[in-house]
Amino acid sequence: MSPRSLTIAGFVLLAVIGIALELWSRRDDAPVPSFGDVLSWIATTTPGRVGLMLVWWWAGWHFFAR
Amino acid sequence: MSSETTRVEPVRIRRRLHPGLLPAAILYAAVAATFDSFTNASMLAVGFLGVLGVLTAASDWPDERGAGARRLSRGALVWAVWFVATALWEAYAFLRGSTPAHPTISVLLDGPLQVYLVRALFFFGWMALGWKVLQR
Repeated sequence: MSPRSLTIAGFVLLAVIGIALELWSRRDDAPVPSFGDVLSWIATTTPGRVGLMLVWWWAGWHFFAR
Repeated sequence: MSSETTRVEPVRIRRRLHPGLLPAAILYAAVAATFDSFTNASMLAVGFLGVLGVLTAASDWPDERGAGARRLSRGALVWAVWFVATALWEAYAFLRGSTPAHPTISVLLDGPLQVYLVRALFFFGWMALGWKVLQR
């Protein structure tokens, strides 16, 4: 397996794990909160909300402006 | 004069989507996607929304955030582990040069984002994500 394939496989695996976690979190008896719940918890405070928006801004800057 | 004070209960404000906002956002994404990276226009398009989003997040909206905050279960640690693992994998690719042989996420997306329709959809998705975060 080439380094490129290995790197991409790592990202795909992480994405699959993230999707699986999200699906798991939607079960009634799930011990894991959904990703949205985690974001809501972070957004509880003003610094948390601002931090989330800065991350969002950086992502936009990185992919569309830089 | 009465010395009684009236307790003002927090009112939850649902930021409703103004009917004109969705078409405006689609138009904004459609125009912004025409701008190449590293141009003043693209920086302005992203920078304007960023300032708007951060200022909105910093403003003290009279809703019931905080008072109605839910406690997170320990299961949230799983998300923390997942996030750290993703960040470490990205850092690994970056430290290996962020080349086609060791691509970071941005290197992988560079090609697709050259296609106008993909770029416009991603830009709109980025805007929608920001809106969703502000609603939390």
